Amino acid sequence: MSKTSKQRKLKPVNLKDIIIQMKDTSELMLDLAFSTILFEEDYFAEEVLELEEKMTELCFKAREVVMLASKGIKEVESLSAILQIIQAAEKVSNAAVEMATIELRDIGLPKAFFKTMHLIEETITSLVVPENSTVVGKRLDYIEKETGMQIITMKRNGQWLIKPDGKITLKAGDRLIAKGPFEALSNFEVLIMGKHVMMPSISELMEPESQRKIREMLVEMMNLSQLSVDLAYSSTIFYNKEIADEVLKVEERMDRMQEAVEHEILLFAKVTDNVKLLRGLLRLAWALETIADASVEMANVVLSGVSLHPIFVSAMEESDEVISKIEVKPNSKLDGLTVTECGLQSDMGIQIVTIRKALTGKWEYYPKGDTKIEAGDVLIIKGSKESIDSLINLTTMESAPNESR
Amino acid sequence: MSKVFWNILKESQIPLTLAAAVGVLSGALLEARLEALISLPILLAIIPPLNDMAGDLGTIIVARLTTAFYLGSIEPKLRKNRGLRTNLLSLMLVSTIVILYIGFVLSPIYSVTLDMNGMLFTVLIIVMLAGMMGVFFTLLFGIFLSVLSFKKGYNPDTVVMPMITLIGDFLSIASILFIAKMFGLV
Repeated sequence: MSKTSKQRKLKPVNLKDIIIQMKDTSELMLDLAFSTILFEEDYFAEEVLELEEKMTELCFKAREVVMLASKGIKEVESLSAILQIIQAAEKVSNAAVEMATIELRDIGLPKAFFKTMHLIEETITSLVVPENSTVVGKRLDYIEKETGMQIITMKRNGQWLIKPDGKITLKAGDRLIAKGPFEALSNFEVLIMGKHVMMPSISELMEPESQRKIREMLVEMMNLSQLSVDLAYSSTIFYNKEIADEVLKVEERMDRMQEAVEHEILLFAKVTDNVKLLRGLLRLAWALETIADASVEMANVVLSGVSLHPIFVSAMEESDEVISKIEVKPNSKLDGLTVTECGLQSDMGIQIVTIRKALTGKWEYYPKGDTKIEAGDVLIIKGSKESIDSLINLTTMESAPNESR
Repeated sequence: MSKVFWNILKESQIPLTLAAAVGVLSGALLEARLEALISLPILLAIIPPLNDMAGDLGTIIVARLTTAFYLGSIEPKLRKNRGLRTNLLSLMLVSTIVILYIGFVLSPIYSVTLDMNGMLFTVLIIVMLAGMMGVFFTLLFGIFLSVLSFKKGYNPDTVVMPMITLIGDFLSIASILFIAKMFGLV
C-alpha cells in the first residue's frame, strides 16, 4: 500500500461531521481570504492554503463514506445530491485560495480599495485591545454575545489563533479580527475601544475617479458572492425552488458585473503604470464570480428536483453559522418595526440575508435599515445557533431585542 | 481474476471461519438433543422459520445501523443511544408480528400434519418465547458487531453479514432448546 493510500485509509468518520466541517472550513477560508486582502497578513493566506488541503481530504472522505452508506436507488440519489453540494463548497474554498494568493504572491490590490472594504454587508474588522479597555479580563464569548460580532482570529504574543476558544480571556494588546453585520460594527468598536472608530471616507482616500468605479463594482460583487452562498445554502436547507431561482439571478448579475469590471480594469490600464495591481483586481473579480458559480451548483440540486438526504439539514443545524427562516406573524413584536428598530443585526448579530415581502412577493437582499418588517414577511436569517434560538423564542415574546434591553 | 479471488479470500477468511465455527456449534447443539427432537418433530419443524427470521432481522439491523453510522444519523456507541434503542424496539415489534404469524398459522398446521394435537398450546408458547428470545439476542449481537465493524473500518457486507446470519441460526436453535427444556420437553 502506498503512503498516500495509507494516509487516506478511512478512519471511522460520518457524513454529517464531514458536511459540518466542510461548511465551517469553507466559510472560515473565505473570512481568512478577505482578511488577507484587508490586513495584508501573509499568515492568513498560508492558513487558507493549509485549510484547502483539509477541504480536499474531507471531499475525498465524503465520497468514500457515501459509497459505504448508499443502499437503494433513492438513497443513492439523495446522497449524490449531497456530494454535489460538497463539491460546490470545495469550489468556494478554491476561490478563497485564489483570493489569498493575491497577497501571498505579492500581486496586491490598490490601497484605497481595501481601506473601503468595511462597506461590505458582512463586514470584517481588526482592533487591538487598549490598556484601559473595559473588556480586559472578559471572555471572548462575552464579547461575541454583547456585540453580535464573531471573532474569527486573535493574535497574542505574536501568535495567531484561528477560531479562538470562547473561554479565552482578553488581555491588553490582543489583536482581534471579527466579522458580523455592518450594523453590529459600532457596538463592537465601542465595547473594545470605548469609542466608534471613524473609517476613512471615500473622499479622504484621494481615490482616482477611474479607480472608484472598479472599487464600487468589486464591493458589490463581494456582497453578491456572499449573498449567493447564503441563498444557495438556504435553498437547499428549506428545499425552496423560489430561493434557488434567486441564486441563478444573482449569478447572472455577477456574470455581467465581472464583464463590466474587466472592462473598467482594462480602461484603467491605460492610465496606470502599476499593472501588477490590475492583476490583483482581475483575480479578485474572477474568484468572486467563481463563488457565485459554486452557489448555482448547490441551488441546481433543488432546481433539478432531486431529493436531498435529511442528514444534510441535520448537519446544517449543527454548523457554526446557522441559517434559518422565520415568518413574521401578525401578533409578533417584529411586525411593524424597521430592520434597524428590531435590533436583530445590531444587538443580536443576526444577519438578515433576505426578506420576502408579503405584499409584493419579491425578495429583498440585505435589506436596508429603514426597511419595514410586516406580518406575512419571510426572513432568511444567519447567525450563531444561540442567537437564532433566542430570536425564535423572541417571536413569541412581547418585545423586540432592543426593547428588552 | 486472481486479484479478485485473493481479495475475496483475504476479506472473508476470518469471518467465514468464525461463521463456520458457529455453524458447527449449532449442529453440535442439535446433535446433542437429537433423540428428544426426533421424538418431538414439531420442534424440528419450527427451527427453519425461526432461524430464517433471526438471520433476516440480524442482517436488517446490521445494514440499517452501518448505514446510519456512516451517515452520522446514529452515533456508534453502545450506551445511552436513542437511535439504537429505537431500531432495536422497532425490529422487536416486527419480529413479534412475524412470530405471531408463525405461531398462529404454522403451529396448528404442523400440529395437525405431525399428529400432535394435544400439544398445540405448548407449541404456540415455545414458538413465541423462543422466537422472541432468539431475535432479541441476535439483534443485540447485530448492534455490537455493527458498532465494532464501523469503529474498526471493516466492510459490513463481507465481514458482519455472514457472521450475524450464523449467529442468528445458533441463537434461535439454542432458544428453542432452552424454552423446550423449561417445559420439560427435551
